[in-house]
Amino acid sequence: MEYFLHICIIAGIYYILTLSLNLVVGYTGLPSIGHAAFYCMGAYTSALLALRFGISPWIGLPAGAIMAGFLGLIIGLPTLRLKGDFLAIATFGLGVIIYQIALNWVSFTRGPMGLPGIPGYSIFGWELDALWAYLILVIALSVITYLVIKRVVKSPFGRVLRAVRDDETAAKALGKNTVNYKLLAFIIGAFFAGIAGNLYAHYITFIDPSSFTVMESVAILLMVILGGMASLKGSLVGAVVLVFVPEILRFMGLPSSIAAQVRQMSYGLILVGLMLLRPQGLFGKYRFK
Amino acid sequence: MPILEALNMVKHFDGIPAVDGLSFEVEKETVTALVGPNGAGKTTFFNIITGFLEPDSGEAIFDSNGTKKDISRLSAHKVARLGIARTFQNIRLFNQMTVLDNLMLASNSREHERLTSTIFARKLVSRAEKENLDRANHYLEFVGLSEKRDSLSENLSHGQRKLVSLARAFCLEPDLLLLDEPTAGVFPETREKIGGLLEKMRGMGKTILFIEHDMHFVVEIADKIVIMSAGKKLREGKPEEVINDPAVIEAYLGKELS
Repeated sequence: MEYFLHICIIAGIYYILTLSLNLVVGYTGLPSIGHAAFYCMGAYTSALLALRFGISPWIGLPAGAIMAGFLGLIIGLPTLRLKGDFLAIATFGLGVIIYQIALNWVSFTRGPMGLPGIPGYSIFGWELDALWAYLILVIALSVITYLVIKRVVKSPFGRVLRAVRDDETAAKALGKNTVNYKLLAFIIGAFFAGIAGNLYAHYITFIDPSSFTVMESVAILLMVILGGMASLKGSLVGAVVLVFVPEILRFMGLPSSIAAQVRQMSYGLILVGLMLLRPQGLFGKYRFK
Repeated sequence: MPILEALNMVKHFDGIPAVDGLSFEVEKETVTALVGPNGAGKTTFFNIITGFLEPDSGEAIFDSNGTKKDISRLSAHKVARLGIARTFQNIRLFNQMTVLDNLMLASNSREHERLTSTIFARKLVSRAEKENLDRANHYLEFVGLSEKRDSLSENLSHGQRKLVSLARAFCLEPDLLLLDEPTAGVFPETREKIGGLLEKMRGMGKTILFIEHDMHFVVEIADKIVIMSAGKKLREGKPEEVINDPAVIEAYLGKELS
């Protein structure tokens, strides 16, 4: 049961990541392969605030999210003028840069040694160390993320995002400042990835750069694509399936040395299969062109 | 009174002139046709006016409710906001969105599309959306495609897509409409329908500048023709004068119109 709750918490964190990336990739059509950078920013900001200054995770939550959103702004300003493949490569580069900073700025992040002993959440002195209590927190934040992103994509603002995705030139001809819209989508996506980072750091209580590699970004993107681009329901399915399926592999009696590789391979297989059979994902409303 | 004056417009691509010292005027509440062989620079000229290209030199003076302004170096979204709508040769609908969404995006008010309005000004958003919906329905009926409003625009036929792109430009309720080959590739019935729509728009006080290859269509609805060749203006004038000009016939038509 403990194990099941743990997997649910992880799935909830990935649901937030998938929703936030779906806004960027699925609704706005910006191919981003650097989402783990914002996740990383949220996790490290909150963890360092807690460890260095004893600041509560409740403060770290908005702080990490704002820092991640700010990173989104800084990265978005120069890169969002790029199109398609070029943007994908630029965001990929961003992912590598943030990972390398976390790895090599040893005096600040402790580099590969990571940050152990990150304090958990507590409410009025009551520590949320029971798994079910933390799961409730994760679910609450997932629901908030879902509601905010849903409101955004269903609004006239979200309609402009989809217009930018379908044809940026035509959107400009209708008077839309498309760069602003892309930037805002990018910042909102980064903001919520920062929230996921906070939840991860204060749950696992230990973070190191290996949790925020480019492979992590690819995994999140895969969840978006599997569930379906521009589908919020799909994001839930994508995150849950890709968190639970590798866990099932554990019960197939594979030695742990092989299991990790099989997990990576299963990601690759799912992606290839999807592109061949259902490029818009399970519930997708949008296809790559 | 001219609504748009192009003055000595020049644009080179890698040293090759696409538009080469082009000057002409578009009078208010008229229909002007921009005609010329392929590669004459017509679409390049449109792209300069609408902010998708910057000219090497020259000016484009637009009369926006009495204030004259050089728009040749404004970015595309700013030109659109001044009251200039355009369509594209290759249509450019938002393909994976419904016809209705395509039209509702063409709105002159922008407050309701701000992120902050989404969060803080729901009343403003719902009021603006109601106006948007009414206007979209109105222009869908105007082009006769009301029954397609909930279809994905990628599922429409070519002619229907052309009509939706026109309706989308009309929805902006611009002063000046720039239409890039509005009838290219459509059936004769649709062409006639489009001609009728353009005449109605002129009747409503709109100014239209359009690129067209079909000379019969041009003669029928244009008040003035501007003939371009190799980036320059060859002739301009009333349709019946221009099309019988020997220089024009030689450069473009190849043979006399019967």
